[in-house]
Amino acid sequence: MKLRDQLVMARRNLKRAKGRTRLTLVSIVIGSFAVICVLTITFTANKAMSDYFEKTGLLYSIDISSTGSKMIDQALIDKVAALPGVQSVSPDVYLWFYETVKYGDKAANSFQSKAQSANGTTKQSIVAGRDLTEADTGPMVLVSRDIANVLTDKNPESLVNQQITFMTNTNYMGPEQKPENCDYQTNVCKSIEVTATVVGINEGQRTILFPLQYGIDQSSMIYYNKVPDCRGFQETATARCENGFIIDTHNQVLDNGFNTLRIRAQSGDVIAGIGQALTSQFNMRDQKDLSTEAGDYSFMIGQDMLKEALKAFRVVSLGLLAVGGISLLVSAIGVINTMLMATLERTREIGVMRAIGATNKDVKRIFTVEAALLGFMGGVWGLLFASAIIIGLGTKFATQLGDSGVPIDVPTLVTTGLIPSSIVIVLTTVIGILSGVLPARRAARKDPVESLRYE
Amino acid sequence: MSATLTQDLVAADISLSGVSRIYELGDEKIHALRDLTLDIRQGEFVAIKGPSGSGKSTLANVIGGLDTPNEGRIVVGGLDFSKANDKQLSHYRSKTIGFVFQSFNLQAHSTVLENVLLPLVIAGVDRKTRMARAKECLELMGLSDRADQATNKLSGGQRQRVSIARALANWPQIIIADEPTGNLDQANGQNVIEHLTKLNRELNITLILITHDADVANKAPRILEIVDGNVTDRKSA
Repeated sequence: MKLRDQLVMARRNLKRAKGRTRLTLVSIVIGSFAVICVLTITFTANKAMSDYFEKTGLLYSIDISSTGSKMIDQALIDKVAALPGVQSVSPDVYLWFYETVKYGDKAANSFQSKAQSANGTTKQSIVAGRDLTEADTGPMVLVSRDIANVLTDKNPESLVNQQITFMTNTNYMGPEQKPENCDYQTNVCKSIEVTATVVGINEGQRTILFPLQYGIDQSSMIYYNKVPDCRGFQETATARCENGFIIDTHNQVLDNGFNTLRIRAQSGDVIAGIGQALTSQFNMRDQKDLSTEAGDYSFMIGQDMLKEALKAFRVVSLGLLAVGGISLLVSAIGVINTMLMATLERTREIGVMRAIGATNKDVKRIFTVEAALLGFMGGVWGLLFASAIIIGLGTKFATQLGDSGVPIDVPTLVTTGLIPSSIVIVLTTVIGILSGVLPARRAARKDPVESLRYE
Repeated sequence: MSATLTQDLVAADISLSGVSRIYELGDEKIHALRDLTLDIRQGEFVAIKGPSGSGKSTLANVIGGLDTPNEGRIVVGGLDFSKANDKQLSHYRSKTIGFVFQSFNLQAHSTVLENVLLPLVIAGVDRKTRMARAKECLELMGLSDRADQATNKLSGGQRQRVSIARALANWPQIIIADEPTGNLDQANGQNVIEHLTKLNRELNITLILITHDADVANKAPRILEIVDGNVTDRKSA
């Protein structure tokens, strides 16, 4: 008997018991739907995460932070930059005093302002305008698209070359602050406006980037102390007395060091070597190595960050897959039940088939193909439902995901998630075949004479 | 009669020697066939008659390769059943034998054509050939106009003719008809017997007709009577 004929026969037999077939299919569809959704999310998220690390250069980066005993100063930066395999380094300065950003009547809060070298250590995905360059030193910014969307009512390109205004918090006593704005007893000042020009829009997440030099300059805080007069005051390198005020200037970056330092390696292969050099030459501790004592600095390798993130995601995915797997197991029991009922109902038919020339193997294959077809159809319907839901949700949320810098869009969901996940159809077909083995064997073992007598 | 109906016809003489079939019902042993020896030549028309439970259907089943005797030897067309495996016996049932049952055993939800196609599908005959052959068989049984009708919409006589068409599909050398008129009225029964005898006469197909009806049995040149598993030749051509 030819396979094509067996498929036609199986389809016809399944149509004969429509209600039962549909119920059995529902259980397979639910199982395959769940597994396909989990796999699609897992595959896509893995890809998106890896792409994000690759795109931003995080995959080839090492982030260093101080543990408190020593600071990240220019001397350390120069030494690290000279290590073999290091392509570039960039310290970070957090501009913690910018509280709100405004453009026209729109404003955004909850963003991070930081300054870093525009030397390519961290790659920027520019959406509009241009990236910051090392020639930029003044109040120029690269704004992430999500913030630009808020400030322009979803027309981020229109922000390029425009001036935006930052509102400082009450602790800001930087170069732009005026003495008369501050209470010298409490060192609390009025919020002031600082303007900057937008040079470009990038794909970052709630971030506004400034040139490194600007960050360093703005970190220069001036503390005022009102005194009756300046007679007898001894000037120092940082303090002077003018008009009854002692003006004490401290640059937080130069005095306390940079917040973090990012290294960009020439390639992924040299990262381990750089890590070893950091440990041995600068008493730095790899954050993933929990057993070693705290050093002067700690560092985190980008590849390890990605591995950790993927590992955590894998654990969640496995949990969800287990739920989907249980659904498929239940559906397998449903297929066994359906096929056993079919063999009983079709006992006489089996006898006729044997009488007109069907071998034991033919009978076995007829029922196995039927079970396999059930599994296959369940997998296909599961894929169709999952595709509709995933593409629907992907279409709805792609913009938000894109704005956040996570490159998940519908084509990515389809090519990275759904297409590889369609392997589930093979899985459900195999489950169908395995579930059909017992009923098919039982059908094939039926005595033809007894079967023909069956009422 | 069409030329294709006669293809592959080779002698399929039937030889049974010392065949016994015993069924066990609890502690009781029932001898359906007792040390039965019998020869049927290719092209014969043999009626097997006997009362209910005498072993007629068991004899038909062992000749048809559906049942296996406890003792004895059956050889049909050179195939020794005792040495044949499932594949060989299935091939024999597919190619040498055509069964016609009292209760038709048609697939009720399938069309007439689909029922006749079934043995050809099982035999792996290609689409074009099997379609032509099935139509040929239906034409022979006068059912061409019913090809696309569901079998459960047919009369009993028509259903039995579909059953004969199905039995004919694979060019068999032997047709075993087990009480083919048992569920039919006299007119339809007569019609079915005429169709079967015509096949025997014109195509040299061996016809083994199981019946308890003396009138039907008397149409055969040779009658084998079974009583308690023992067979007696009552009339020879």
